[in-house]
Amino acid sequence: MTASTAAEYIGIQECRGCHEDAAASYGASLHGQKGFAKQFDHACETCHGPGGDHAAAGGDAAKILSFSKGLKAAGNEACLQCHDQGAVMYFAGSIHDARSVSCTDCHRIHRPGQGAELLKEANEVALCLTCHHAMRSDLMKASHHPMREGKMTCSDCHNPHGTTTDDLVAADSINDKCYECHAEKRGPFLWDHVPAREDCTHCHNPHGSNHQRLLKARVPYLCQRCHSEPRHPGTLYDASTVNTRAIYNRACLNCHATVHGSNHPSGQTFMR
Amino acid sequence: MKTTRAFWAMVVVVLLAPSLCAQEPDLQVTGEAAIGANDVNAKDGEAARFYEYREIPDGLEFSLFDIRLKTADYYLRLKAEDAGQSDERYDLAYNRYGKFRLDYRWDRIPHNFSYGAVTPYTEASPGVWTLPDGLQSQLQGILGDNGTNLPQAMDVLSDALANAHGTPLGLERRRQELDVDYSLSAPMTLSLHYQDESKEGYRAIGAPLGFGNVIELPETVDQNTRQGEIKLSYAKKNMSMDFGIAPSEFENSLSRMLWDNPYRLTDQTPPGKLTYLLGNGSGAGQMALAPNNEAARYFFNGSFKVLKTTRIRASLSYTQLTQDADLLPYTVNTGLEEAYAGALSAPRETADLGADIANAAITLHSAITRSLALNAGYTYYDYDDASEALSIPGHAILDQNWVDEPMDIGYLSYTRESYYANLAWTVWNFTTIEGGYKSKSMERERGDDYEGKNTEDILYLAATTAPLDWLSFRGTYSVSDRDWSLENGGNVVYPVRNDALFAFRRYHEAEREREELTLNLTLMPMDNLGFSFIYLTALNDYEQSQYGLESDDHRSFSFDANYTLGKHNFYAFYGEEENEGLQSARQTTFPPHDVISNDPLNDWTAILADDTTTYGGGLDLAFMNDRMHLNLSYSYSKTDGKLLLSSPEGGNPDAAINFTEGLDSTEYTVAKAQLIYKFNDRLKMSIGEWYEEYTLDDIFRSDIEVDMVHEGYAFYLGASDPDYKYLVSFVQLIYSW
Repeated sequence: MTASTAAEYIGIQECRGCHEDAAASYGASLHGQKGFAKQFDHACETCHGPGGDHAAAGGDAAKILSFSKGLKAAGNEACLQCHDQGAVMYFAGSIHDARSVSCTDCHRIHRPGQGAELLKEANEVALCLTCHHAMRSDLMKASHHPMREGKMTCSDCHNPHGTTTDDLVAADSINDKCYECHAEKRGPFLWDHVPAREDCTHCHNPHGSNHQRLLKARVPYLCQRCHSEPRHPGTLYDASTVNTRAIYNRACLNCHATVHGSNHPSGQTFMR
Repeated sequence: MKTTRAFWAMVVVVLLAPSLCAQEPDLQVTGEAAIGANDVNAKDGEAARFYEYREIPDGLEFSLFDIRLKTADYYLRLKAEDAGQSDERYDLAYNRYGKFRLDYRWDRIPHNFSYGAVTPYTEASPGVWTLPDGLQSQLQGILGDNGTNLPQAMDVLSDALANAHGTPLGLERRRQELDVDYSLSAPMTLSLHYQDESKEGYRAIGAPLGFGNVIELPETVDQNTRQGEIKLSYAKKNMSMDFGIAPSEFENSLSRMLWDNPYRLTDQTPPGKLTYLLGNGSGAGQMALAPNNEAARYFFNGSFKVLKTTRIRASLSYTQLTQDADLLPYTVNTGLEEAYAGALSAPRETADLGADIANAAITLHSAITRSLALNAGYTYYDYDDASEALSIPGHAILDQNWVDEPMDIGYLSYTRESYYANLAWTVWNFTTIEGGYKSKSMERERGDDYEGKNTEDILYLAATTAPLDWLSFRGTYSVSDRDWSLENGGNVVYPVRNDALFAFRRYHEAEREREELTLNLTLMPMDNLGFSFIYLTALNDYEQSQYGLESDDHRSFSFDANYTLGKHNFYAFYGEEENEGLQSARQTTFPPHDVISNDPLNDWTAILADDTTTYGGGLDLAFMNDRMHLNLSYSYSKTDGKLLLSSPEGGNPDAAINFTEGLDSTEYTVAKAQLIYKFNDRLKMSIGEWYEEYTLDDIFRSDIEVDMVHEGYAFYLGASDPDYKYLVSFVQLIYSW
């Protein structure tokens, strides 16, 4: 239900009369501070709309924006009044918005949340896992980014509020995101490895893997999905070849060490 | 040193902060500090993986100091985690509400690979790995120029490897970040971001010589990345925009790695083209390391609320990548000058490479009615290689042989485009149905000999409903079909030598059909009881790929449960995941190995599967009127890596010999028990134990050896990843104010 646009603002003191706890928690929250009040001077009514009709009707819940069930969109609009910019600019219409994930599903507004982002859970990874719990098994795999150690978090790579890229990657492309921490792979190289230049996730699963270096499959078989050239790339590596250099330890990468790209004039097969 | 500086800077700020704020009448000072001690017991010996990204000190630990000063106008927060440790982190945050904000973070991230690595090499100077000349000349003398007396040479090298010395394998990142937002006026904000990250240490790298002589060495890493951003944002009620520039610079203090050939001291012209015998060729090898490079991104983002419920957003960016590092010579083998006079020179002085990236996106979101929303958009990403063309007369293979193969180096350029539209219809206030279409394309061009385009059509349908307070459901289904312009001709067949007979496709461009389904059910039958189920499946079928990756499927199911009883909390989770890929290839003709066979009997097929099971749970029990808490938690994860090989009888070899055990299996278990007792509102104590176990069962990497000289002339660092069992007992005092 929406509040009447003709209603008048009544101020937080009036609200406090009936909603003492909510007003107190608002006052203690980030939004309730003096600096913000200079920009948004209607306090509770900045989000809930003018409360005049609501108060006059003795607190009729139908006469104020309450953001209860079925009014998630209205709640989001209230937040977007101020936050429709920067990292949140693409929220409206984003995959989370389209799947009815509202601002208040992740953030607390009244009661104190975690950190400056007012998160509902103890940390960001825990928050994301409440819906994306299939990711938990990836994070627990042997090869992983330092997320379970608290050195990285989901939003280091993703913008949950929406992006123009697939999978909410917070950069112009997947590779552009990876290069932020792995700038040594950025090149350009004299010899670029084509799939690596296009998309790191052709070979890597950034969320976690059972294989070294977050690889999607075991080397040499991963390499053999694309390489079947004469000599060793097409060779069948089975139990009879365990102790050969093409499969032992780093397998193909024992020799093709600069597989992301080589800057060596003789590096076209990434061995220099 | 940086640790000490960061720590003491923090101390100074903490001491000064209260006096600076003493005049504030409404000042609130809150905070928390935790100090404790650990007793770390490695049941099966120390393992680097346990400390992979962290330090668990065996002894005193200053795990947290967090102070927050707050008034109605601003807050100041200083936080130190794991002070003095190799994973320490410091945060400083100052926020003058609505006016000025500053965040500074200093973070140290270890990345330990192995404690067991050994090498006979010595690092003479950064990136230069040498062996005793005596060993090289001894082996050269034994082998001569024709690889004679091989067993005797191997015995000598094995003796040297037996006396190899330990070498560290681990990296450390030190990252500092500064973010400043200054609101010039209510609608306008100036933002600055600066990040400086160093990465130092050693990691394993393959450093081959010849065709059979694999050598694994520590690669010296001493790199630094600096990136910044300056952005001006403007936001009014119905519009916002920002624009700015983000430069980035990567600097590697080492441009190359140089290492001795154990089998040879002096350079030699090899006896024949593309032949290699131990003892031939170069006295050393040289490899190019990651080159210095720079990037500069210019960007604009804008959001415009053109109607009450309609937004148009646009993002534009242009990025320049440049890489102009000095180029190395073709080889360090002076013996190759006979084959090509310029072999010891670089083809040109510097790389002179670059790329221009243009990125544009525009999206529309419109709530056409209260129950119907339209989303549409277009994205464009163009990676245009702008490198100076380079022709080379040939190249040196592994510093051993010169190959006369003149070549114009072909650089990759590509363009991605996509457009989409979808409608979201909300019915009965609690159900949203969304359907849409997306078209994606990828056009590639490399040199003069390759140009191809993928186009993909994607249809998707999603439904979200919450008909009852305790029930919600989300489901998404999508189907996509990717075509390839070269599927019916052109450079589709790889390799080209047998193009009529060998239809091998690379999966990143091959035709593909994909189906994805996601089901998410959440139940809350009681206010204090919740369940969540998720089922995911993604099936990729490369239907035209007779060889290469033919299918790649993912399925997972997961379940979460939470229960609260008064102040007691319980949770549990369970998940199963399957990843399975089917791939095929055809072997070379035996001998001479240089032609792919035409005979289907030489086909082989591999099914690679990773099956993961994850489960765990925990509880938090509150006693004595919330004065005492008992936390118990347990988690377990196991991934079985499986491989099933097959090949038809009559080929060469005529049958695949499957491994009798799984390919690679890992298990990870963590169990923790913690008792927290609150003495009063300010002081509490935590005491407990925590057990962690990791196992690796890998047919190629478990118990990795150093000396493989007798089985392929190779030797490794022996950088093992051993199983571990750690039991950590801990006690901690936490004081809040």
